[in-house]
Amino acid sequence: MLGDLLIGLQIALTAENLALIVAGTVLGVLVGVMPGLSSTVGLAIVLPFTVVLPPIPALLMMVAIYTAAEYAGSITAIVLGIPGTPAAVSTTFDGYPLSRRGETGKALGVSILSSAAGGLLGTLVLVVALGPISRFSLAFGPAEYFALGVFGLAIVGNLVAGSVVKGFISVVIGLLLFVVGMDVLSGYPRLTFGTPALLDGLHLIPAMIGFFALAEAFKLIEGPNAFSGAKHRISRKLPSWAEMRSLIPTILRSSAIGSGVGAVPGAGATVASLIAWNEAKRISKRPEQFGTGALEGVCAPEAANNASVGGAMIPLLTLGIPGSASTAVLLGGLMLHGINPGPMLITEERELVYAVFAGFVLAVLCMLFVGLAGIAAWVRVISLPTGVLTPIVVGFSMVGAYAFGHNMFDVGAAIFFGVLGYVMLRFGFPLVPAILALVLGFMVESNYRRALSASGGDHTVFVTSPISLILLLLAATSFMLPIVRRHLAAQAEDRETAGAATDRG
Amino acid sequence: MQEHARTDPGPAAKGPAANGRVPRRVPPGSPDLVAAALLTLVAVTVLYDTLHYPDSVSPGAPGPAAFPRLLAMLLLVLCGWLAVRAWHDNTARAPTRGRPAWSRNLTALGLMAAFVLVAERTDFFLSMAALVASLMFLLGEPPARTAATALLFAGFVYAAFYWLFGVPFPTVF
Repeated sequence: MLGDLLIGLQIALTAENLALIVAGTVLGVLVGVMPGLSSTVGLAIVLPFTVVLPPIPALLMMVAIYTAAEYAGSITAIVLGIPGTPAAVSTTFDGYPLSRRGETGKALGVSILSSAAGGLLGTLVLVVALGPISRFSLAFGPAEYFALGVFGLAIVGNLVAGSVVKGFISVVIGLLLFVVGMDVLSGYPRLTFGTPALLDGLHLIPAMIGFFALAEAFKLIEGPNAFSGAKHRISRKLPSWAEMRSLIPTILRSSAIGSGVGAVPGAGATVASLIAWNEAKRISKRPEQFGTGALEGVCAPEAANNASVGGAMIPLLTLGIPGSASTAVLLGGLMLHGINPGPMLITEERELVYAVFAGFVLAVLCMLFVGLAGIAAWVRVISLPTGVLTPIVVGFSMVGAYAFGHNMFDVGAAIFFGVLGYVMLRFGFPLVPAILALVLGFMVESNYRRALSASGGDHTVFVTSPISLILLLLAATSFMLPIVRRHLAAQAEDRETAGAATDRG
Repeated sequence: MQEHARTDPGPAAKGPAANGRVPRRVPPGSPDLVAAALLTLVAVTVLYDTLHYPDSVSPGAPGPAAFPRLLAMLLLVLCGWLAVRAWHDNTARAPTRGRPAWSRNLTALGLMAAFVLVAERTDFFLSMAALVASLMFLLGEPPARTAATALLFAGFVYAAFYWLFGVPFPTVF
């Protein structure tokens, strides 16, 4: 393994790859620092351009964007109290109070150092876990892959939505969008309604650009951001070594939480950072300080959200299941370059896998340097008005969509997905389950049909395999648990109301 | 909280506000009911389209119609659930904050559609500059900044993606 890592490092340390990592880091910080954007938007816009690059440089750039953006959301969270990315919500709890006390530099310093430590530890978990999980997934056949896809979608539909039924509707919408086009197994056109342009199906790149970048742009066009154009001065005093040493246990614990939670499809950095903050407060000897400017309150979510990047890569590389929206875009990138994630990836594309590991380490170090050196510059970027930012996002989206297929149909498709995504958001339907369903649709349907073809149409094939049965049961539990919980909560509320009425009587 | 919501007659019943306007009363859960109705239509359309699909050539293996039909039926069940929940739950509203700026979004959409129609027939970069400038004007940016940003952006795209990366944009340059 060490030899492979050194080879990976050698590949990643070429001038071209280093330049792409630096470019990706700067871009990642830029998109992460803007409230309303996220690592997913940055990745979706850059993805079409990576077609012109070979696979390894393309992936290294995308890994750098992902890593940097997960950190950069904390900058606006600390300076303005507004998270730049969803994962930075927990950072506002203590980061913003620290900033208001005049300790902005300390908060930003704790954030970048914790993010770097979390990112390195998450990469270590990825390197160690990838081999064993890949060997385990060799036991997967069509029935198991179908069940895995259903499980992944069930978890995502449950976790990311405020409403379970809307989460699952979003999954079904994504699967229906996948169905459009020629059926891969029979060649018959489905849901094309006689339109020749739809025979090739709806491509992932315009869908991602539309859902993540243009839908967000429509939201920004809706109304001005309260923070745009504001000017900020920050103190540059960083945390002392003694302060950082005292945070080591928090960093280790939060990184473990981040790696574990990041590996669960749909959970991702946001859930990881919330759980880490909560645990840090629960374990702390001074829990009353959390929410008022505790350094652990900044350290915990930041270590967790960058550690979750490594965790999210585990199911992506071993099973082809994205752990988050950003890894769904990364999966799109792998597929664009003809690389199929799965149990054989580590043997068939060994150089690529270890180059990605090395890329993560370099991306974290680059993020550390860029983050520390450019704190004042990033704060100035926050001052960019929405009226400038939004048209630029739209412009890059148009360029990216055209660059994918070199035709205006893809640009039109991206706009369609932008409108669809915006309408879904207005009605309260989350977008992440839909895009993950679009990504996983092929895996779910093709393995469903292959499993039934092999069993002669016998559906018991999905329950006679222990792995498939367990995954389907977990999926069903994920579906039923919120319903049962809601029912029990309603019953408890009715009992309380009845009890209160009896007391008054 | 739910009890209060059930007995609250809603804003319209409270009479005109100080500025003389009567707030429009939105029936509880109506956005979810609208969504359920639209998605039911989608499901029915999918089921109708799959009626004409051929059967599978392999015995026992599902044909091209199986998966979309399964999805359509699942969507019908989920829409029914959403509709019933919206009907019974008075606090079920779409998570919107006030009325969105539809006219601005529609204008932006029109500008993007115009870009799609015009860019390939004229010049991609000039059309891109016009699109960025129009959107900035729509969002209230001053003319000088609008012109400078639009031209700089188009120039950056030309240099980076057309010249450096070799993406074949339609252009007169």
